[in-house]
Amino acid sequence: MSVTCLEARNLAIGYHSRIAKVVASGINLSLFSGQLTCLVGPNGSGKSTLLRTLSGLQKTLAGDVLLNGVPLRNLSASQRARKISVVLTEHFPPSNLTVRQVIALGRLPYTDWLGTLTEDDERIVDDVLDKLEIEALAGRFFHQLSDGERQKTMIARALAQQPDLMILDEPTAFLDWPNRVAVLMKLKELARTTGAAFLLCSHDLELVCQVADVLWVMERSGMLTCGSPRELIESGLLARVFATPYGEFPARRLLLER
Amino acid sequence: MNRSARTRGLWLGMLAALALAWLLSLIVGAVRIPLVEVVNILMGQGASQPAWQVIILDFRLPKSLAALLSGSALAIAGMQMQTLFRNPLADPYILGISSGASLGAALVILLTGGGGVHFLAKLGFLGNAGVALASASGALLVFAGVTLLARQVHTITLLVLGVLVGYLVNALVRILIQFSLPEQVQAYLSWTFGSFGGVSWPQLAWFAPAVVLGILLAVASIKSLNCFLLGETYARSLGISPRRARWIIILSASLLAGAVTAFCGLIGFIGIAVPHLARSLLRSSDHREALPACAILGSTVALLADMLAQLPGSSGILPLNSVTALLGAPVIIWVILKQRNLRQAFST
Repeated sequence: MSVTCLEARNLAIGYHSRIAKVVASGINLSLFSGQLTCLVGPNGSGKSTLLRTLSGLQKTLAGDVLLNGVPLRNLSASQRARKISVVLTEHFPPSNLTVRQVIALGRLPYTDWLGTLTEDDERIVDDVLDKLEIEALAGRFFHQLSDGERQKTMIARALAQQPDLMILDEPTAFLDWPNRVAVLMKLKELARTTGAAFLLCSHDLELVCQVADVLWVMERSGMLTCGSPRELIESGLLARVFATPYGEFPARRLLLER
Repeated sequence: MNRSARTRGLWLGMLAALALAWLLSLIVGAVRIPLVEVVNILMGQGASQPAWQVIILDFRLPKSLAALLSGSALAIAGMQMQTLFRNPLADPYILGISSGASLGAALVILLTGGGGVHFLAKLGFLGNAGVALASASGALLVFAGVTLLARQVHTITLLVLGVLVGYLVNALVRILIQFSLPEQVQAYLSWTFGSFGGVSWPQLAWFAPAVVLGILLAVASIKSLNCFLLGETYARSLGISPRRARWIIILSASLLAGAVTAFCGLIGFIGIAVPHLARSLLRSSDHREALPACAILGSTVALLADMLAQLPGSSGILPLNSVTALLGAPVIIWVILKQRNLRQAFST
């Protein structure tokens, strides 16, 4: 039924320095096209490291990441840029770029050496403006936007890369409640309509449990468990992983609301 | 569309201003030569007065070409540095290239020759070429260091190193000055004032190819400069190799800044002010537009500054460096005030 987009086998992630620092190892996982996968876990469990590794921005310590069956390391940087796009938490330095220009930068992996936009590229930019419902913002300067509008623009930019896989690092951070709901629902809709795989990490457990097709729970030990939100709630894993000194995380409450 | 009509008008205006400034630079000077005669001389039809032909072909033409090339080179290098370092106050000299050139020039001017009232004038062309050669070697030395390091260290580290090299060289130059004759100090000082006048045809044969190569490299870096507008991580996610892109950008900017400093001395402000002017006129940071605009506006500003430096109607000459600052500072102030939001203005 579902097509595997990305697969990791016996993956070890961490940092290369004089001595390799392993954040997590023995990771096996699969990402499916057309699905929204949400990664949750406490601070410092290695979520961002895992996302960077899967997006090819950071080298693996061991094991393989396969994109459509091809090892990520065998792809050139520009080949990778046509298959994987990212939305990061970091803000980029302010500039005189309009929303349309920011989104058009997503087309660069497809353009010639000078970055010339063809009619096709322009049409794709129009299309993603429409998909994110931000046509009205197209001529505005990016740095005059609200946080919610910026996040939609960055998602549109990543979408303009026409990826097989979009990876988003905390796309709901800094957003108010209506914008969090709007962004997550939009991502789920985009997963369905574009057929790409969407992977995001978030601390919005309540929301994520309701929209995710697949949930990945990363523990501080580096242990990664995959399953449907229902399975992971019923098994008591979520309640345990997010327990506080004052008691367990009331994960079952989320089930009743579903 | 309104915007595209405005943009087209803007480009035509900029090109017209450049052409006008270039023609004016040939007409205006200690001797005023009529436009018709200038055109005749340029077309190879000779002039009614043989002296005019010499003035145009041997002095004003190479000088105006030097101004044209220098203005483009400094503005483009400045824009590259501002984007690479994400710093609105970055200029072509930020990597310490000009410090190397200064040291080279200082060594030749302050340590050689017995010194006379017109030390450089006495040495004539040889003196000029010697200073150019020495400052080019100094620039090349720093350039080699910077480009070797650029592959290994962090962008900010490079910035700090450039500033430190500048301090080091200034200290050495001051020591040299302490032990030099007043005439030599005067000669060195006038080198730091900057001038397009010292560039003759034989020097242009080296200067022009260096600048053209630098500009070609800059054009090749346009796509990565645009990616860098989103920061290094996004640039990588778009398939750009930040290390290689940064290396090409630094190679290009150093070549441009080094060539200008070697042949024309220190010329400030064009490299900081013109990129801001270009982006603010175009209302765009897209380097596909901003880079050619920088080239055109930079050349125009350099030609105008050179004309003003000659004090029309008098035989005196102002320091070129002061003229560019007097022209450039109001431009920056205007850009800041016009945009109201200071952060926005400085980030353009």
